[in-house]
Amino acid sequence: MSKSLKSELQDHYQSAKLSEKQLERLSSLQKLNHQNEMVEVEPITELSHAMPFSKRMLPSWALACCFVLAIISLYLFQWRPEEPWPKADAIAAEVVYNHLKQRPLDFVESDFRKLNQSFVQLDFKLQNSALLDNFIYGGGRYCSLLSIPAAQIRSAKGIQGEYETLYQVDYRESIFGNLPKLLEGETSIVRYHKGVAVEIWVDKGILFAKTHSI
Amino acid sequence: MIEEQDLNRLYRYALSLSADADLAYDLVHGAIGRFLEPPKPELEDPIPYLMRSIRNAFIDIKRRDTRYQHEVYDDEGLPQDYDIRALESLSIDQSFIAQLLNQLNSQEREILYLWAVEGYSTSEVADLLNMPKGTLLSKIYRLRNRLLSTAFVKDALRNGGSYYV
Repeated sequence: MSKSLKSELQDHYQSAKLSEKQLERLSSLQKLNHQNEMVEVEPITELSHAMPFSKRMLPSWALACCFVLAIISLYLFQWRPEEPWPKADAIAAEVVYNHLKQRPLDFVESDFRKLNQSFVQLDFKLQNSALLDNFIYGGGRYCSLLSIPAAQIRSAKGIQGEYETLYQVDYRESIFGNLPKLLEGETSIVRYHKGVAVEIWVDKGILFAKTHSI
Repeated sequence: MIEEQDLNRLYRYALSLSADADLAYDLVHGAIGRFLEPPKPELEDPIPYLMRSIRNAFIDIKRRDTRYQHEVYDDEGLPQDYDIRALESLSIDQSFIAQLLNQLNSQEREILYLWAVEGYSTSEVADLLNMPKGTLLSKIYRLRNRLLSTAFVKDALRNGGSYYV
């Protein structure tokens, strides 16, 4: 008997479920991560058991009071922290994470024009920027930055065997927040993560994030 | 902690992309693993983020595989006011649904899943698929014609109403 395609699709997909074993594995994965997050605070908890309750709670109370006082002060003085580049640290962290991984390249290509043509699945074109004068292209791979499809480009090997990683991604302010735009006369910013410097800027509608050898 | 209901929701989405139960599970497992890796994003609702993550991983896996065609359509001459609701009048016999899905490519299954199961609007689908709305509308136009060209799908309004909004 014929039913609407929509309703048949709903029935078809609703009948698909993870098995008990698969659900158990996914739950364990999440619990394991949660436990890892807790590891650092455990020694403090154990130490505090040896103290009377009032003393044990004292640091927490003091901390809570300081926090409340800080909030009240901020409210009274109408002070607003300035965060000109709210996503810069998150961008740097992700770029450095992948820079250190050095995953295999999808395209080994030193010619910028050919490399650009290789990224057929991106909905933007790679761009050159004034701040890339000394960058020698070595190849690239598909990647993502804050979950947006991006090109991860690697430089040719440097004199001391080092590589630089350059990210290019279609810049969307709603996702990447405000970032310095060269065309508006702003200069690039640098953020450090795990000892690696990442220079970030926007040019020609593209977000650039490049690691620096230090 | 992502609950069972949402894990199944992610699994179904992965299944719509991959049409393979094992790969769908791997995609969900990978997305959860990446989500938990530092720096962990702070999100009120992690499901859209995880869906994107599953989608990106799937494209990553299949990009050299012809099963995921990243087709570029020429939008000229195609109606731009076509709406995803144009799929509402289509009907099918239950026994043919699996057969139909086997004949579709990943992107077509994904569009149908987002429309039928997740209840996404045209704009929401375009946003998740990261494509201009005009391109998506052209895809829907072609998808509808493709569905009707199979022996399984019928159009309840074949001689009647209009799909243009």
